[in-house]
Amino acid sequence: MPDWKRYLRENLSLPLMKAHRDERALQEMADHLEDLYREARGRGLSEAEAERMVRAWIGDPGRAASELLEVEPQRLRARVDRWFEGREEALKARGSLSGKLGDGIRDLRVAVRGLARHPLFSAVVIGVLALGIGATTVIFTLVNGILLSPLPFPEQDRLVVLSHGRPDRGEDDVGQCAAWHFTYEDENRSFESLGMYTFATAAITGDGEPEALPILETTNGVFRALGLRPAAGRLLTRADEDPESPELAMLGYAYWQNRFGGDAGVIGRTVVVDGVSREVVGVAPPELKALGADAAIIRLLRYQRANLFVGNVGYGSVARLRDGISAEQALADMERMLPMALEKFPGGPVAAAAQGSTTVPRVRPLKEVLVGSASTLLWILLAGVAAVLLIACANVANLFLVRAEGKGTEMAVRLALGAGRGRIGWEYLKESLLLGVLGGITGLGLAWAGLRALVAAGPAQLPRLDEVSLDPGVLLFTLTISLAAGAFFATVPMLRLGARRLTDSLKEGGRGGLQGRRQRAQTLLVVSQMALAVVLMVGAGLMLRSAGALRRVDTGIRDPGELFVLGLNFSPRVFPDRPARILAQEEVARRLAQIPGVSSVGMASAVPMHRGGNINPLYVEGITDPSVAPPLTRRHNYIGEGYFETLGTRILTGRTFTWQDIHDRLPAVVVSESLAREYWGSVEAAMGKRVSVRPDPVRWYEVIGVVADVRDDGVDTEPPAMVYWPQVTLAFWQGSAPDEETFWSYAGYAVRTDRVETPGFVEEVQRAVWSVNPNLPLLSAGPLPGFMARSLARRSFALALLTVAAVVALILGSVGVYGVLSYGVSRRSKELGMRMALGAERGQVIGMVVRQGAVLAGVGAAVGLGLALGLTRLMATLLYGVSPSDPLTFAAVAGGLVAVALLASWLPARRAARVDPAVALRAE
Amino acid sequence: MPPVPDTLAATNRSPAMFSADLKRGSMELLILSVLEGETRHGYEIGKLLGYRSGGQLELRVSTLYSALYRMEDRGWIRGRWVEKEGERRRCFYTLTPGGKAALEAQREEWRAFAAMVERVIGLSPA
Repeated sequence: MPDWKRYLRENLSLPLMKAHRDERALQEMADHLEDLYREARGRGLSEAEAERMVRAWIGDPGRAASELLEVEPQRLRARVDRWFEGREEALKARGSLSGKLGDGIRDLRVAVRGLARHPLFSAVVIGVLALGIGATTVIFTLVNGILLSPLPFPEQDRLVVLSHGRPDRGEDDVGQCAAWHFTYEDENRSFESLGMYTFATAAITGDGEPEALPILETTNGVFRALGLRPAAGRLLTRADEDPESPELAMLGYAYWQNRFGGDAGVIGRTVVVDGVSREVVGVAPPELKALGADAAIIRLLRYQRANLFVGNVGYGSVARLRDGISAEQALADMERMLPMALEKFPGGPVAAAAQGSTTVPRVRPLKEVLVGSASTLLWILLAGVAAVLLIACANVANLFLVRAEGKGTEMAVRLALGAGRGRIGWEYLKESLLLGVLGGITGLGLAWAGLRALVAAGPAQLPRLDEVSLDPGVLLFTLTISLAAGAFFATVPMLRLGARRLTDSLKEGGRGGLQGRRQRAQTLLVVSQMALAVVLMVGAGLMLRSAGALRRVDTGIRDPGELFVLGLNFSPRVFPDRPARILAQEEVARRLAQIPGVSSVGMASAVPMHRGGNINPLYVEGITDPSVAPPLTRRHNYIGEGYFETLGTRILTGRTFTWQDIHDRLPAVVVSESLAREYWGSVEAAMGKRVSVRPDPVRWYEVIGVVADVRDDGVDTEPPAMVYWPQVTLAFWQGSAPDEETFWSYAGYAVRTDRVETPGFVEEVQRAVWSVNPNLPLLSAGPLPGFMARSLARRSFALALLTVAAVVALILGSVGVYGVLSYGVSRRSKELGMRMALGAERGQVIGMVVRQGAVLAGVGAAVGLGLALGLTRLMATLLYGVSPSDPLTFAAVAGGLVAVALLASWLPARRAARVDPAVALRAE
Repeated sequence: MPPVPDTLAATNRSPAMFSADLKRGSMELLILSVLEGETRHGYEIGKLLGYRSGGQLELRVSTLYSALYRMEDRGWIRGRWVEKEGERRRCFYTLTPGGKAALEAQREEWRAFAAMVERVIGLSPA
């Protein structure tokens, strides 16, 4: 029996059909023919007769094939048509289909039908656009919500942050202190109101376990300056600042919502903060969060003015300028008032170090202070995704150019028949605008999902993230870029249509001979794609190099993955007996060390990555002369036994403290390597030298050891020069008696264990702590690597987004190169065939096409590198250990891009070399 | 399944009786009516059309199957591969609710059209 399937496959050009339909049709028809054949044979026909009869049922194979092919493209179109017919019918039935609306619907229908006719083309365009528009929308939403939209305070442009710097000592920003604050409050001519505040962590002890929560300590001026109204109850007033008045508190809005379900009945109840009962008088409005952290409790800073002196800086300060007063005028006013502070609040342990002459006031807009750090990052990312969008648009424009070439003849005929250019332009425009809008809508969906993921991930370095949303401004932005993109696609082919004489198209018989000009437009698009891709790749490459440099950084800490850190506040209210406090601190260290799997435990008033430690002047025997100039301030950390051993910090010389040293009140310090070198020139020379924080030391502290520098403030921040003191010291502060002991209530612990990530470890730590005292909440506890990563969050965020953008850009750019070359090859198959007929080698033909690709990529890379050289300077603050014009990165990117472009050109080149000269020539 | 009559043997005619245009215009109606109330495979549909038309309606395989696929795309019929014991796997077609509605509408239209044509060409009184 004949193989009917094979017969059909060979005679009908079915491979043109879609694969699944093709196979099914083939099978069904072959079965059908087989049935007919069997039947004919059953009736007694000979094999030849039966076969002839069955063939009659197929008829002319060409016609049969075209009949089957006709079915294919109608699928989507038919559905679209039916939908529109339905809508039109419905509108007609209601009598509302008339005039412009009717025209609009018909136009839309024609456009949609046009797209449905080329489902693959449309899907590719919409997909590419959606990616570009979606990414741009996400970043624009961030820029809009964080940088552009005003802060949620009335007349926010009058809000400024007051701070101070000591430029001669390299201290850019020391913040505010109470003495300055009250001086300004009393004497100023520029501020309507001003306030001072600081964020802290407090143990909130309710009926259950103690909780460590962020709290805001503030003067009442902050509420007045920001123009806040309470969400419930009342705000804390100036009268409440009197130290003699009862202790009160306000709840933070989120804490009120989460813990008390927004119940207004909470007013008048009592909360216990760090062991002190406070009556709740009100709830702060949600806007207060814009100031920084989301405080659970707000309490007032209360001062006895008589005890104040200039010093103890580091507070935040916000002020509202009087109407008509500029920031410059306010600054001049502060310069006038600053010297008064020393007269109004004389004395104090560090008065000599805080001579007003070296301090300069600073005034900056509140918004700049709050969002400034994110500004560079976000603008760079916006530029990055905008570049991706441009590349995507260039790709789509290229597709349109190729398609327009196909349509050229049709359009020319219509022009010749009297259709207006406007009408024809509109034909192009409405289709591409529709694509733009569909891409925009899809992109908006992607953006919505992306934003949700982003806000959920909550990159630590993005302020105001909760204020970010797809608001009308963002929707308008997305609509605008969608329409602009759509208009752009239409414009490129339209300009070409406008430029050519319509008879050209007709004469060319539809083959479109204007390759030169079209090719030029395409080449321009591809070169710009490549250039933009290079800029993005250089940006991502520099971030990658920074990440590599950061990974190689010596933090001074060995195997941070084995370290678990936590903080405890041994508040005087929980431990009123001071000697008992230091014993409890030591006891916690011992109990932690007893947890199975823990190899050692160290204690310090500031563990790494917690921005702790305090700042005081350092007097060095024989070097600093307080009568000449106030000494430099240094970082100080107060430690117990085993701190460096637990961190794995190298002890370069000498020794560190034991608990016994601390009980003996040994007058000794350990210093960091950089501090030793700075004062004494070498590590060894530091041994036996003496230091103090007071200008009149009744007791000097001797250096008994030098340790390696530790990056305490973050992996990417230079290690501070550090003095390590025993946890308990005698006669420490200026004016304190020789036997007066200084204790620190905050104690940080570093625990070295291979069980950091083991489930239940935190609970074991908690139990160990509570076995010493059940009123000690764990403060910022967790594996050390988590805190290290937080210090790099801004860079990681930029790295991730730029890398994605660069990869997408590279792919789209390569597709662009491939498209142009591949189209060029198909256009030139005759020429190539001729060359090969005349004896050109395959290799020569491949070389010719690849060379073209290399030129495109080379020009693109050159332009891109030039652009990148100018632009990467803007991202200098995001880089680490690599110059913005790092030659290695630039070279690698250029090389990588050219390599990818060569690969993209090699595919069409190979096809070109396979052109059969005979076939190519016959095609003409 | 009703027995499939052997029309080709009975008529022994070539498969082009009416003009192609005429057949094409009414083919969907004819196929829909054959599928009314019955699930049938392609060969059976072809045979039945031939039988009911007394051998005058014999569709080329490509015509038959392209019509079937087109109607499937429109959602009038649904094809499903079924394997029965002792038989080869075949695609059986069923009318969908949309197909039933289309059949009714086309029948009505045909009735009106035929009546109109008859009136115009004078086969029946106006």
